[in-house]
Amino acid sequence: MITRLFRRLIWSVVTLLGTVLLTFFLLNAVPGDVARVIAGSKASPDVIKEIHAKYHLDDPVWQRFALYLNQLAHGDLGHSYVTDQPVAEALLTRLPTTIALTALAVVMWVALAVPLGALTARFRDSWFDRSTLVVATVSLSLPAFWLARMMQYWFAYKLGWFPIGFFRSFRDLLLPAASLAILFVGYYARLIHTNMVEVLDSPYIRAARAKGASETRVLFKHALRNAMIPVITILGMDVAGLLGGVLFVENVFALPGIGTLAVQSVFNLDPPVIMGTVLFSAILVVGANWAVDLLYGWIDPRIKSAS
Amino acid sequence: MTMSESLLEVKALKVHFPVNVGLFARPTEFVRAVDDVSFTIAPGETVGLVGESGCGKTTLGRAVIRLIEPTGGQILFDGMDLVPLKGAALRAQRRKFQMIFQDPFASLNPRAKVENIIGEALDIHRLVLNATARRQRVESLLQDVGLEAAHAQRYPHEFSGGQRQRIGIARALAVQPKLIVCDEPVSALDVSVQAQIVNLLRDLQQEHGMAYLFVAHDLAVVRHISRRILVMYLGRIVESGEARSVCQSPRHPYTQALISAVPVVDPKLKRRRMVLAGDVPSPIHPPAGCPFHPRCPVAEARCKTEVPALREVESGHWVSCHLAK
Amino acid sequence: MPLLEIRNLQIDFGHGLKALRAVDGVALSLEPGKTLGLVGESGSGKSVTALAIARLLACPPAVYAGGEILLAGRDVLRLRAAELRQIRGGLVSYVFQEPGASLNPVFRIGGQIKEALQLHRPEAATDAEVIRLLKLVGIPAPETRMKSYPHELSGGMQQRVMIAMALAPQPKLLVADEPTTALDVTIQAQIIELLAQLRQQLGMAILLITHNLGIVGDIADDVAVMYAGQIVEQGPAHDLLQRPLHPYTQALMKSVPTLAADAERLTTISGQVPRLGAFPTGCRFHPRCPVARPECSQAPPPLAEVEPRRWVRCPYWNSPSLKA
Repeated sequence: MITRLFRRLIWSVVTLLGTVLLTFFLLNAVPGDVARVIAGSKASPDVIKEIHAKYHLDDPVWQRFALYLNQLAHGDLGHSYVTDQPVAEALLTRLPTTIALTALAVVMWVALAVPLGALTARFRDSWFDRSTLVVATVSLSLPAFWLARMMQYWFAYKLGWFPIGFFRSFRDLLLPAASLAILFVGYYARLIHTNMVEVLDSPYIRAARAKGASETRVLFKHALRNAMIPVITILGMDVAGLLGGVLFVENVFALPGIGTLAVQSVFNLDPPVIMGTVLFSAILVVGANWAVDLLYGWIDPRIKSAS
Repeated sequence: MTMSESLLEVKALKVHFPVNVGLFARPTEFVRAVDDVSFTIAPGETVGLVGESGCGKTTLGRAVIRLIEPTGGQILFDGMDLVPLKGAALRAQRRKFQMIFQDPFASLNPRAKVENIIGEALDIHRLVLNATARRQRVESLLQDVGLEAAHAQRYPHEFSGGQRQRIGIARALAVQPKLIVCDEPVSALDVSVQAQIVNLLRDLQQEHGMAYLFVAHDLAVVRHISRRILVMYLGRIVESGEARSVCQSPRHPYTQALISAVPVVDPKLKRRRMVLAGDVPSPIHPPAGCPFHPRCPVAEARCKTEVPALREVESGHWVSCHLAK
Repeated sequence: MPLLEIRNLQIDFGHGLKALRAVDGVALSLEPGKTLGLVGESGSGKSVTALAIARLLACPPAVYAGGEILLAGRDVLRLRAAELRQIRGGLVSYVFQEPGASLNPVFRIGGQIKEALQLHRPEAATDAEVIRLLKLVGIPAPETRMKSYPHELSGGMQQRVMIAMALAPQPKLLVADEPTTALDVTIQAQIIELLAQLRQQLGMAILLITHNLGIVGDIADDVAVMYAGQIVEQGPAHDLLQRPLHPYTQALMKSVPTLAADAERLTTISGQVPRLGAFPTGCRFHPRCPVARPECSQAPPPLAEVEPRRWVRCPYWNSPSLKA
């Protein structure tokens, strides 16, 4: 167990370093002078030179990378070139919004997908199963930004049930979270459906029925946990990859989260902030993997004793 | 039996699998699947290998024909040691020994026609010159195993379990091997079909003269086909001898229990059953002394400390038990 | 009154023109406390019959096409869902072939046994009762074992747990569907011994489904032999196993290898076990029967009581060629 944890830890560090390295060098390859961005297009050559000196822009790229790593090792993510705000602070103030949005979206889609998947598996080939399949396929093919815009237009602007944008209370997150959740509900309902169908055919389900367990009990106690085992892995990856969707949704609804920060930083060509947001999403991926591992041990006792 | 007479001579064969592999450390524990096993098979002879699941009989059967890498020991096939062979040298030997598998459903490629399942080995070892010769050879092999020439154009799923096992046998026969390892060839089949396959294997042996290593858990089936029987327990051979001698006067308490556990149909022949307590212990931590002592009904103090050696209690009948006479 | 009485049971797989009859007119009866062995090869319909007793077949594809299954006088095929749940586990319990796959891998075995108690004897759903049951089926150190997960036990121990779980609600009938097939020979012997001992101790009836004639002889009072969806022979175990009357039973018994005989050719039954949907006309065994006559392919023979308590589905059972 200890060696396994140790191995995971090493891999996590390697993943993070790799991400930092790749992003740093890719950013470096982007054409355009950062100093121009900072000082504005009308700045004098002297000012530009000064900025170059201040941010070591003329040093060789590997040297600047070493500098950045050294900074990172001291827990410093640097300052935004544009606003001069510490990147860590920018991330932290926006973190709650993004976390709340993501968590709410995950809760929504899991809470919908689980019963949908389980019931369509139980009533296989019924009209309920088939219509769910159609809806799921449609929801799978919706692009995130379009869906967010549509939801905003209909439910916020036309019907006025929700605020069009901004973030004042938890309730304001419902609509953005729902537009994220809808993207995944269909897929997860099908995924859980497929696993459920397989599990429902297994001898222990027959044994549970032979015991006299009710169908609800068979479905949600005996079958669901087994059917969720393979789903957990994919869920972990999707939660980590959700940031892509969050990016669109936060921007459409003008929510002050990491997603809007990331988009701004790219438009501003603000390297420290870009690095910060990328690092944040890499940490999210690694963290999600850890969470999946822990969840696995809890949901499937066979894993724990195998390690 | 002198050396020159045996087709296969296995000497002190060991197969150990590592468990709990550490990150940097060497493996700390081993499953001793096969531990210091020696036996011989004469040309055209059938040797039965009996034991319960986890005793190492399947591993032994596969290690003998180098499907599993042995950890130590020698496998002399026609006088040549197979253990150090690698790559092309080993492949050149492969046509001399073949295998028939337990599961006739899983061991045939579902997307290949019977003609190609059987013909593949012919191609690999370049045993046929052209397509016509190949087709004729496949058809004659199918007839040898009691199927029809027309079956060559069908797929495995069109056959019943027994017929599929016949296809597996034809595939093994294709290269005219000197030894076929039969790994539980009938245990997945219905009783009425089992007997057909056992008889077929006997007939083919009389016709073609190859030897069998017949691996099975069912002592009665093994008894029917084998001239000699090896009984395996926790990676070791605990008793070996002529089939009649082992089945009619078993000396090892484990063999005695195995025999008494064979279900008997005729109520007139019912006898007191000797039921062993407990399960087969883990081969990672086999018991000290005689590996059978925790389940043995007659174990004494020394059985817990001294490992019994295989000794000849009667001409050709070997037992590893301190108490056997 | 018999505990279990199956009358003219017919079970199809699929509907309408595509329907394949897996069980065709099976009739069985089992008195309280007795053991009936139901013997057959794959596809004979023995397991389908066994599962039908608690209506455990998945519908679709299975269809209960006809007949009655009277369990303690009530027709299982007409029960409502809630009544059925009372019967399942409460009156009839099951032990299946693969104990490893029949226990839920994600729950501790103690919890799984306790669930059976909660469903039928809620007042007894305690750790103490679970421990008593585990002791009853011969599991050592039950106090710690009840906290194990199924994969931590050997096959034999898993089957003991299954038996403990089946016995927890104190059923009147235990259906054991190939309970030893997946187990090693020495463990098989343990499980059969355990079942025999429990039957004596608890007085329940057992319906033992098996392909192994030897096991039947060990434990059954009566035997029914199935072939291609029908019962072909039925009678008291001792008598039937010594003096089988139907050509199939005779051939089946001869094809079982024994330790006594010297290495010689085994007696075989030619051909293959017929597949569902490809059952022959007339007598279903006639293509493989060593003594078949031309008329055997025409009219399906009835199951007839040819001697007291001896039922045979072969009109020529008494012919000299069969007695040899």
